Amino acid sequence: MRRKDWLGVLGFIAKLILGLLFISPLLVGLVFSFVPSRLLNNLPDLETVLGNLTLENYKWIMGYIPIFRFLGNSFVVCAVIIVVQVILSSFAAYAFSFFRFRGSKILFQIILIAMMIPAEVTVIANYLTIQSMNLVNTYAGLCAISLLSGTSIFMMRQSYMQIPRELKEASLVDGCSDMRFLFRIAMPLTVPAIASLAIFLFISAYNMYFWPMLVAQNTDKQTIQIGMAMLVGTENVEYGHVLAGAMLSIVIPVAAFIIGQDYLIKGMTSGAVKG
Amino acid sequence: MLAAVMVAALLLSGCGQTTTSGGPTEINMWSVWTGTGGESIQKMADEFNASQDEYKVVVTYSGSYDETLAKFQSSAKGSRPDMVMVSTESAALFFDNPDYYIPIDKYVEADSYDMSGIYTNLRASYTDSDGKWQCMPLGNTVVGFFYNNEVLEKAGVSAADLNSYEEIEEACQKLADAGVRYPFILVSNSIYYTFPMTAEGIDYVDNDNGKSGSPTRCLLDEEPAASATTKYFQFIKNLAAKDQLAPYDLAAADTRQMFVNGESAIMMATISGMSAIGELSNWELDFGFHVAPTISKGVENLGQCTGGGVLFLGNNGDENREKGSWEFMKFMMEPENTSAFAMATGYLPINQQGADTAEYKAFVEEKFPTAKDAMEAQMATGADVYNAILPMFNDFHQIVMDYMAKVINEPSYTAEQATADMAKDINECIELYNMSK
Repeated sequence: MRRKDWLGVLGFIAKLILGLLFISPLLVGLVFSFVPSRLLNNLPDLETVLGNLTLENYKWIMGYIPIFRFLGNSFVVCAVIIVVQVILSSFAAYAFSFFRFRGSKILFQIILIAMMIPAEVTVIANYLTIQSMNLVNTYAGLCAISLLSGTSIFMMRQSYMQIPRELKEASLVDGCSDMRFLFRIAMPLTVPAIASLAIFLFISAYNMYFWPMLVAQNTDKQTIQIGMAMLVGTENVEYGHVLAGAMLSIVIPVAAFIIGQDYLIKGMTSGAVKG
Repeated sequence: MLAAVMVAALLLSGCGQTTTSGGPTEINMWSVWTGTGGESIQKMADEFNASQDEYKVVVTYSGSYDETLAKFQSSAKGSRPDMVMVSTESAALFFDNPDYYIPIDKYVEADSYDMSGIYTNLRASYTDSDGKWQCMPLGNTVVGFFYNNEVLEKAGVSAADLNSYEEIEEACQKLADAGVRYPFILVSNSIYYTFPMTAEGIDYVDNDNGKSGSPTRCLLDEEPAASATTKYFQFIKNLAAKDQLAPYDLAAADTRQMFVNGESAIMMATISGMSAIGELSNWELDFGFHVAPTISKGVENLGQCTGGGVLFLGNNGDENREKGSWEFMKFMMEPENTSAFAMATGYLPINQQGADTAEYKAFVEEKFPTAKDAMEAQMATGADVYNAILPMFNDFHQIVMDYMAKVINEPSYTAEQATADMAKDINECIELYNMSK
């Protein structure tokens, strides 16, 4: 074998080891989710693990919480937030990128400042607003505070800034309206940015805990993160149950990540270099 | 497309409202319980719903005690649950905000319901100064310590002799000499300071320890509270200096594991940890529970105040739902239900009738005989033994924990200084709370 081939094989082995190292907590969690909780209070040896594999933890979860209802609710919330936020932030970002109007810089700076306010500061005020609008315990209430954010406007603006102005001018000459330019030209050209934004939004919406806890006041509207909290016993932690729940709850995010990982990486680096 | 989303959102917004027309009245209960305790409460709700067709209790998990409290405090009248679980300590916040709840005494009186079976220490904590019941005791737990019989015996220590922190300190030296890695475990929690203070009959805030009115100042800068507090700080400081105290910042689950593994011999806890320890060791560990010691050696232990959580009737202005909630509360106080909840959670039953059921007696006899001592101690407790009623409990709790950590971590920081500084901070926190009202 030539030296170059050897280096390739060594590189592959190194990457494989590194990859396994990174994913090992997930793999260990997956295996332990098939082991009874009573054996997980101390680190079990391999023989104990292999000799006691069972589906009991998964069966228990199905009987204890409506996990598929929770997953479904999380999915609905994520879908609404992603679709609405991508559209609304595209509108705002388009205005900041292509329109010249008085106060646009200050307005954009205000949006940037809004990004820096921690959610914890506004959560109770938001809850009181949702309550006064009679949206407690509704999907609309669950989604309402996440339908627009400074981060998504900022991300979309950065990607629209990279579209040559000449393209916009040529479209105008050809009689293309702003809405048509946005939907037919600008958005298709920024699909990687939209996809990465969608994935970011998915991660944050899927991981929301305190807001759904406030707004969803019966089991029908609760999301998977609340379901996960329900698996942690008040007095005693059944690790098998928690791990099985975690494995079920990560199926959707892992699938989303696998589908969108290329876009996520592109999106993370898109604002790194000034275009 | 946007229009479609908006229409969808509007449609979705109508999906969450509860309708009760034609069917039983729906009673919403916010529960903090998960695991076996959560299953036990759900079972009671299912049985209650099946037993009649006028009301339907819906149990909803509402997060931890703190999350539930934040959620409840943010909810306007009409959006509140019909019943809400609150920690014993946070009950004081409700007492100080009468608009939050309907005292159950209204229904106790109307029904002439017999609450005499409820333990005296629970009565002391959950009735007002006129003896009127404010809320229903749900869990019942006392503070004390678990001990590993085998390890104590090897070191020549008898748990029955450990009636004060001073005696525990002497025992820890024997245990350390016998090779026990961490003789004593103290989880970061203010109750291991306040319960022994109460056991000695020492008030630490004014207004009868908060019973006759919201406190206006703490009493830690005067006797006897100042000396007792200093002694307590000195006790944990001494153990830490001799490396006989387990790492202070461990989670409760980790300390239980350490205890079960025999790395430690004495662990401060509430008796509700009994099931967790038992399950961890497959009920094979020879362990027992001793009720809260006093701080000083040789003083009389006046009794055990309670913890464990309560159930309030939310004030929503709907009498029918209040009545339904009260009916469910009565169901929960049936002896077979209080004993079932106790067996599921490790708490003690809230009433003597629950403790007297054959199932509970068999459970105690088989798994944890020393629970009987805790129940006897409760029965012997007078109505004047209760933890301070502090509406600003969360801040108080944090201050105590901060000073506990400080005396452990800073060798040059004296117990006397900690007592004086803590008194100042608690007074500030009381003042701030009273200003905010």
